[in-house]
Amino acid sequence: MVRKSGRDLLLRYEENPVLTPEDIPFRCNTVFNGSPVKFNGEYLLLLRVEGQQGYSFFALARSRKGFHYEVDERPVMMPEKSGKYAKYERRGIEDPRITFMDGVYCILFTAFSKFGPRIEIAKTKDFKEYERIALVSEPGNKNGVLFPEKINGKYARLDRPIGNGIGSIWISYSDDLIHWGHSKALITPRPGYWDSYRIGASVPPIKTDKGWLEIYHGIRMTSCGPIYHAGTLLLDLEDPSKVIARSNEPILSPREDYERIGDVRNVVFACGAIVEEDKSIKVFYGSADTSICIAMGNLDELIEWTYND
Amino acid sequence: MIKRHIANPLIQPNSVKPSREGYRVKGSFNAGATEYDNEIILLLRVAEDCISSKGYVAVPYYRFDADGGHPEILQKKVDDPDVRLKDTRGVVYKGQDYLSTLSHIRIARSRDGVNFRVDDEPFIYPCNLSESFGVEDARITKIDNIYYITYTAVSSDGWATALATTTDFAEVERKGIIFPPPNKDVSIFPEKINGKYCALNRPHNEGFGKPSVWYSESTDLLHWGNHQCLIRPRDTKWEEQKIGGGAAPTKTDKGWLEIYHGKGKNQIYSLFLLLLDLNDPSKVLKRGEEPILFPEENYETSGFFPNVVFSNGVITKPDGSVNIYYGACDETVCLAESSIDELLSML
Repeated sequence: MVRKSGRDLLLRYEENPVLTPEDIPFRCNTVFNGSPVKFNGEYLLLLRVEGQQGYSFFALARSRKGFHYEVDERPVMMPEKSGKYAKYERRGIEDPRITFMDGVYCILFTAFSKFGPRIEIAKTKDFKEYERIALVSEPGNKNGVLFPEKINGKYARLDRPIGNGIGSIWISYSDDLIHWGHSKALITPRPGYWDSYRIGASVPPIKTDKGWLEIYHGIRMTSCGPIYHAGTLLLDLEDPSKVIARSNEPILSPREDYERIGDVRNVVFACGAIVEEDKSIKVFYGSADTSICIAMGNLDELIEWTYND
Repeated sequence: MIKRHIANPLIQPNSVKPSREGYRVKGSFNAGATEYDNEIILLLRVAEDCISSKGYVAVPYYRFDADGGHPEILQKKVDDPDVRLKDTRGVVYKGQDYLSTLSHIRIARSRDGVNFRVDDEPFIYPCNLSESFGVEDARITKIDNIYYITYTAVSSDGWATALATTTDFAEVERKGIIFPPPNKDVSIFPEKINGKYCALNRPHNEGFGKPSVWYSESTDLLHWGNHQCLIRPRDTKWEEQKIGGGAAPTKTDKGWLEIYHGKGKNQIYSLFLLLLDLNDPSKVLKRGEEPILFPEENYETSGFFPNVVFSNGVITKPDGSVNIYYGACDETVCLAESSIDELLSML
C-alpha cells in the first residue's frame, strides 16, 4: 500500500494524489492545501479550491477511512461579498487550518485582498454552519495555526508576519481569540538549509509527551525558483515560545511528478494532519498547488527526527 | 498657523552623553512628549555609532544577559576576511549583521518646554534579543496616571512595537511586544472609546500598495485586534512613498486630531493633519490636503538624514496652545507652536 521513496521520512500514499481538480463536482482550476479532522466517525477535509477566475474558496470532502474522498456538491465558504470582512477577502480565502477545541472547530485561514494577506478565524460546530469570528492579524501575515488547548490560561497561535524580506515564525496569545498580544519570535530562516528562504507554520501544533510538535514549511530559493519542503519543530509544552528542537532535514520534499508539475511546481505544503490511536500520522498536503496528497509516518519517529540524532 | 521656535534646534547630539566610552551620539531626535511633575518630559531617541581608528571598522552591538543589554564594540581591521562592508548602514561579520548606529531612549526635562536637560543615563535601553538592533521612536500616552510608552523594537526579526509603562519616569516596566513586525508608528489614544482602548499603527503592506495607517482596538492594552485600514498614502509628491501616525491623537470638540507624517518624492518627510470621529475613530472626518510642516529651514534640510521632519510628541496645554515636538534630519529635536483652533482651521 505504501511506497517508500527512500529519501523522505514520511511515506507517500501510493494512490496519491487523493484529490485532483477532476474530483471536484463543480468546475475549478485547482484543489490544494486541505485541512483534515475526524468528525462523527468520518474524515472531513476542508479544501482550498481555486476557481477559474483565480480566487480561492473552501469546499468539504468526506471519507470513511481517510483515503478516498467525496467532495460536497457546493462550496462551504466563499469570500464575503458584503459586511466588514468583504473588503479584506476580495481576492479570496486560502489555506484553512482546523483546530478542535472545547467542542468547536476553529478554522484559521488567509483572507486575501489588495491590502495583502491577513489571518482570519471562523468556527463551526457541525460543518454545516460557518461563522466568522475576527480578522486577527494585520496585513502581511499568514500561515496562522491555533494550538488545540489553552496554555497558561490563554489561546495561543503561530503565524508568519513578513516585511522587508524578513519572515520569522511568531507566537501570540489571546484571552478571547479576537485580541492578540505577548508576541515573540520563535525561528527564522536558516542560511544554507532547506528552509533558508522562507518559513511558516503548517499543521496546527500536535501535543506530545516531548512537547508541541509543529510541522512547518521551509522554502529554499534556487535559480529555477522556490522549493517548498516540510520539516518539524518541537516547542516546550508549558512555554511554547521556547524552541526545544528543530529538524535539520525536511520530513518531506517534492520528488514525485504530482509535486513537481502543476500550477506552482516543487511544492509540498501541509495544512493539517490526523494522529491515529496507534500514533501513526497522516499528513495532508497540497502538491504543486494543484492536488491533495497524503504522506504517512509515526509520531515518535517525527519527534526523534526533530532532535537530529 | 504653525510657528517654528526661534531656539530651534532645541536639542542637539553634542549635548547628549554617550551610553559608553567609544560610542558617539549621532542623533537625538524623534521625541515622545508628555507632562510630569510640572515639567515637560521628552523621550529622545538617541542614536549612537562607534569612533573607529584608521584602518579599522568599529560598530556598536549589545550583549544581553539576565541584567539586560550592555553596550559593546566590535572592532576589526577593514581588510579582515570575515568583515564585509555593506553600505553606510552596517557591516556583516562572520555572517552576522551589525548596524552602524543603534538607538536607545533617553529622558530630557524642561520647565519651559524649550530649554531641556538631558539625563546622563538611558531610560529605555535594549534589554533582550527582540531589541538587539535598538529601541526607537517612543510615543507616550497618559491614562489614569500611568504613562504608556510605545516604542519600536528592532531586531533581525524585523521592527515590532513594544509597550512599557512608568509612573515616575524613573522606573520603567516592560510589557512586551504588542504589534508584531513589521509594525511601527504606534500611538495609543488617551482614553477608552466605546469600552475599548484604541491605537494607530503602521503595518507594512509589503507588495500590496504603500505602507498605510491602520486602526486597532484592545481590551487591556496588551492584546490587540479589530485591525482596520484607516488611511492610505495619496498619490502626491508628499505621500508617494508611505505615511505613518505621529503622537497620540488629541481630543478636540471636532474630533480626534492627529498629526501624521508622509514620506514623499526624494525621501522628503512632511507633517499632515487628520481628524477622526470622536465616537468611532475608525472613521476619517477630514484629512489635510497640504502639509502643515515640511523641511525648509537649514536644520531640516541638511543633517544626518536630510529633509526629514517627523513628529511623535505633541503637548496640548489647557489654553489650547499646542507644542509640536519634531525630529529634524534624524538628528535634532525641534519645536513648532500652534493651537487647537489654528490647526482645526487649517483642515
